[in-house]
Amino acid sequence: MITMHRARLLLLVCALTPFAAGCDNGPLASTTATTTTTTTTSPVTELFSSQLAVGGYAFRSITAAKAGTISVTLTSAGTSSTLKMGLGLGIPDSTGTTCLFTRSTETAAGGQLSATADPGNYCLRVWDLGTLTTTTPFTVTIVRP
Amino acid sequence: MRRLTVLGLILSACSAAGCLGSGTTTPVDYTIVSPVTEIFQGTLDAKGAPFYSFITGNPDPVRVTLASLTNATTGAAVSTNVTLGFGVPDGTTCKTTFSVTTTGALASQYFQVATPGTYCVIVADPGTVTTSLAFAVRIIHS
Repeated sequence: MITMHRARLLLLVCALTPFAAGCDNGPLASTTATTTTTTTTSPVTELFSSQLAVGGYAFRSITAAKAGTISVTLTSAGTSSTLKMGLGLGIPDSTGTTCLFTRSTETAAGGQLSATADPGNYCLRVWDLGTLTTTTPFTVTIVRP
Repeated sequence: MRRLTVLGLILSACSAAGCLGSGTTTPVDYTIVSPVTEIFQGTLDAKGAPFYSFITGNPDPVRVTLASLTNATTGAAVSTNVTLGFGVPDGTTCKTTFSVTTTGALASQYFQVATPGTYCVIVADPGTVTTSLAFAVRIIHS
């Protein structure tokens, strides 16, 4: 047997349940909706290591998950600290195979490019300036939001 | 008591269905549902002003970025300031409603919620171009 008190309580719970669940777009929804905060590590550091053939180039896509600064640093270029390579940062063209530069430089290890970016797809390119005599390894450190 | 329980269930269902006359309005969502990315590439010479027209199908944001500006001969990025404009096609030109002097960047220089229609972007020499420049403008719209 349900008492009058319990019945009133049940009435109240039934009436308020949809609001508490945040499943209504009524005026109370904004004050009762649960906000889920997703913590994403940012900035993200990635390494792009490959080998550059004589006269060759390397291409790598970069995805910025949110707005922020993208920076790319030629961390190593062969075993020499003076060997220069081309380093470019930009957006991929409509075919996704060419990097259209926003920033570019000719640099030895340590050279860096950076730019503030919207969320989206970007790219970097490393190329032989005509100085390589053999296939040469390199590493680029990418920091992106 | 049973009536009270039934009344509670009715109220509950009714409020879930939004039949309590809350008078709420649905906020406009400006999120681009199916964005289209177009790349306007070309060469800008001294006194030049190439433009590109595109069509938006939904009242969503249009984001325009002069993303690349390079020496057309060497391919090296340059920091020359040029004019980037946004507007509507007008005969053989682009009649701008917005323009900015800028150089290549990865962050958009222009953002607007545009009604469906035909628009254009223009890249023009403000008097700073002394050698041919290759440019690329990224346009995101829907």
